[in-house]
Amino acid sequence: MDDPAVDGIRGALAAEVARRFGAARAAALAAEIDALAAELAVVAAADVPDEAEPAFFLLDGDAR
Amino acid sequence: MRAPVELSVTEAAAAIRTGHLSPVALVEACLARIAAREPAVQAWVTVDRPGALDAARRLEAEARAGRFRGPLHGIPVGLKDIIDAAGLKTTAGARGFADSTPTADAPCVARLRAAGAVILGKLHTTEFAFGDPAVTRNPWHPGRTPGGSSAGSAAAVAARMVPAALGTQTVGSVLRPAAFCGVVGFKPTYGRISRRGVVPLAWSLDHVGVLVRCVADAAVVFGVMAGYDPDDPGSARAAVPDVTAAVAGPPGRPPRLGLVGAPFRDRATPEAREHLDGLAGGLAARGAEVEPVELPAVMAAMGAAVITVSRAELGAVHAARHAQHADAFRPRIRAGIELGSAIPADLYLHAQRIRRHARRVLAPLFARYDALVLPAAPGPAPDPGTTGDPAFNGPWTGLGVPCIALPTGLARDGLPLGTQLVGGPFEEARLLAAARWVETMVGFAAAPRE
Repeated sequence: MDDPAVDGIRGALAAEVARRFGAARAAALAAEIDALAAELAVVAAADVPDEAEPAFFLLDGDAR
Repeated sequence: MRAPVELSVTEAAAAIRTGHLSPVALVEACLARIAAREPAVQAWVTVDRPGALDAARRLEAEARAGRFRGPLHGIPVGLKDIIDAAGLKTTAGARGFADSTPTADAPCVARLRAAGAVILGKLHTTEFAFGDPAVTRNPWHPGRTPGGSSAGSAAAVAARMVPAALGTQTVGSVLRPAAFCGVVGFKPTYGRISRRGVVPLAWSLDHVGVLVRCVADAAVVFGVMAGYDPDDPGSARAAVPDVTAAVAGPPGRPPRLGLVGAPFRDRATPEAREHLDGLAGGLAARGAEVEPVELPAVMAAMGAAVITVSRAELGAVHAARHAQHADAFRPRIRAGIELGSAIPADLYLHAQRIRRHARRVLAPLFARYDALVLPAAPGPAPDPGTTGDPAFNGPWTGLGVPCIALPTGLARDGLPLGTQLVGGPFEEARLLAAARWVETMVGFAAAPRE
């Protein structure tokens, strides 16, 4: 059964790929878009506390 | 003494220091081994025969005069071909369209040379260290992948062409090939080894690591390369412990090990699960405290977070090159760049927040256990159409914590099975001591047949 969250992300991702690289390229990448959309949906659903800032390079304690 | 190519880094360095082995003889033995095995293994992009022999002659003269540059005096080392060495072409596995010939060593290479290492050459990588398989074959079986992206590095060490090689890991590119090729692969804490002079894949995930044949070698090579680099924005200022002392002499106390189950266990093959269970039982029988551990819920999202971050950063790293040469990229990396550039900013940021949160909530586990234990890969090396599944490595790379893969047995098809030990941030000494204990208890001694 389709997951609405994945469907929404898949649609947005496919539209952005088409905007950047053309509709033909987006169509050629349909399977890869499906796979990445599933991963992005897991990320979107993951709960993190409000105070969790993004990790970019150094994390807590790395400068000790 | 065994044949020079069979010696580990620490064994060869000791033999050189005591005058029982000459650096020139060791380099010549490696070159002869490469000549014999390279047609089947295809590990090397560039073998710097004249440069290596010149360096070995200088180091031999110094050794005869009683002068030793450091713990790697006279030891040949291979470099994954995304790591710069002065005067040697860096291809990044990109078949010509991104070649450069650096005039300076990457700092990690400069540190190796300062410690006496001989740079033997450059080793095949997947294109820009992504997922399109390299030409390298698994020395254990030509019909199986050596893994990737550090394919040549793992294969060359396994085939006894060189005792140590550098690799890099952004998701699972050191530990997975190490497991598939039956060698030791070690990735330290994020920021421990400078990535300057290394072609990036994803800035916030890229690590330099080592491929060797025993834990003591991982410690000595890591110890030489580790340290703060003010010109690498991802470099950590944390003091580097004396990791060689942690693995010197007889193995220390039996470690406390946390046996990781979900979400990894179900992805392993039945044979890999059976192997890990048997290993855990054996280690417990020898005195290790082995306890099952339940990971915090956020770890179920870490694999997806790492995929999200790595793709988004890949797209940014290669945006300009893609605009010029989109057709030159191989299929998997081209798709990765294109999809990565389309990932929404809010999901990229959320993935980075998952990483930070996960590192915080795992701190008590890393305090309790010397190492967490799980398979290094879902099973033995699969067919060469892929580089294998990095799902067992990516979440830990995303945490930026040190990890090591050890060969711990053979599958029914005769290929190696690897076990991964994971330590807390900046706890390399503790992790390597635990790995050394496990390595000693397991006593893995198999090697690929000729």
